[in-house]
Amino acid sequence: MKIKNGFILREISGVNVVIGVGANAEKIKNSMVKLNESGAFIWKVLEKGATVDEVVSALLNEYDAPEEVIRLDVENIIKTLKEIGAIDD
Amino acid sequence: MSKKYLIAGMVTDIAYKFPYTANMLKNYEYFGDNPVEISARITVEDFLAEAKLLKGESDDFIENSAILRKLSNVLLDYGAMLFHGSTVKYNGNAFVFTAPSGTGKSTHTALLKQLLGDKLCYINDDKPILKVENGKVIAYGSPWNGKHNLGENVSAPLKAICVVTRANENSISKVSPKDFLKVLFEQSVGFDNAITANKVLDVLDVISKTCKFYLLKCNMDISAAKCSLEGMLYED
Repeated sequence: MKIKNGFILREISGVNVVIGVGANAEKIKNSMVKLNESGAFIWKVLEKGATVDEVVSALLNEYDAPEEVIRLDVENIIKTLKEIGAIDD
Repeated sequence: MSKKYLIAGMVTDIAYKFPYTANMLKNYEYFGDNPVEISARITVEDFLAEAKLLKGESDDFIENSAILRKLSNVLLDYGAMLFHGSTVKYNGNAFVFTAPSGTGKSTHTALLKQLLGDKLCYINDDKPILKVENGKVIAYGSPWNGKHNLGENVSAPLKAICVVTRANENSISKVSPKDFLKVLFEQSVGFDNAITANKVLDVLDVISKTCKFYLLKCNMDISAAKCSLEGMLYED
């Protein structure tokens, strides 16, 4: 899966936020999502396109945490991003 | 018809056909000798694209909206963006009152004007230009100054942004911009595409780091103006 065009991640005022632009701009109200550090990391991996397993292994390389914890985090973030339409099902 | 205007301190070339825009721009005309710095001229394609977005609107309104869009995009190249908020100047500083339409920000600044008279002037009642200059943000008037035509071609350093909400009792408190990003995004002009959106966010980032933020809960009584005067305008 991959982040769709029309969404950007930015750090503003020290907060990582995802917002919709263009046709998605009207949806800013519904689509503004704040991401924590690992969330932003997952976003950047998904920008290039990756499977869930690839995202998990990228995170395992970066963070010192058990795989099941990381996998849960990844699944949660992906669920959120699907809800705002930033990635396809 | 094409003329030179002074917008956000820059000599700007704007061309138009209809009197609606001519009338709106007249207080911004530039009579000096400096060369044009930026151009907000629209093409036929710009007009047609705007007409598609604004089906059923009159040609003069469509032209005006297309010029606004063009200007807004060009300004972003110069670190300046249009922002939705009623903006006043007090004691040499600019204060922006922002909220979704219909909340009562213009009502609130009208109350402040009533309370303070000549000590307070309108920079712009609807869409001021917030421009980053030397790492700080300056609020400028713009020709798009709301249905009551309140505003002047003046500028002042932006001291604070105040998010307005309705309440029975008046109160004002200092807040973190982090908690009001959604409001800031919604009231910023220029999320047309990723390129312009990133420039908008560049400006918002500077605003969030250099300005103060307040949350005003207010009714429509003159006491509401006293509340924001004492809680924000007097503050150092």
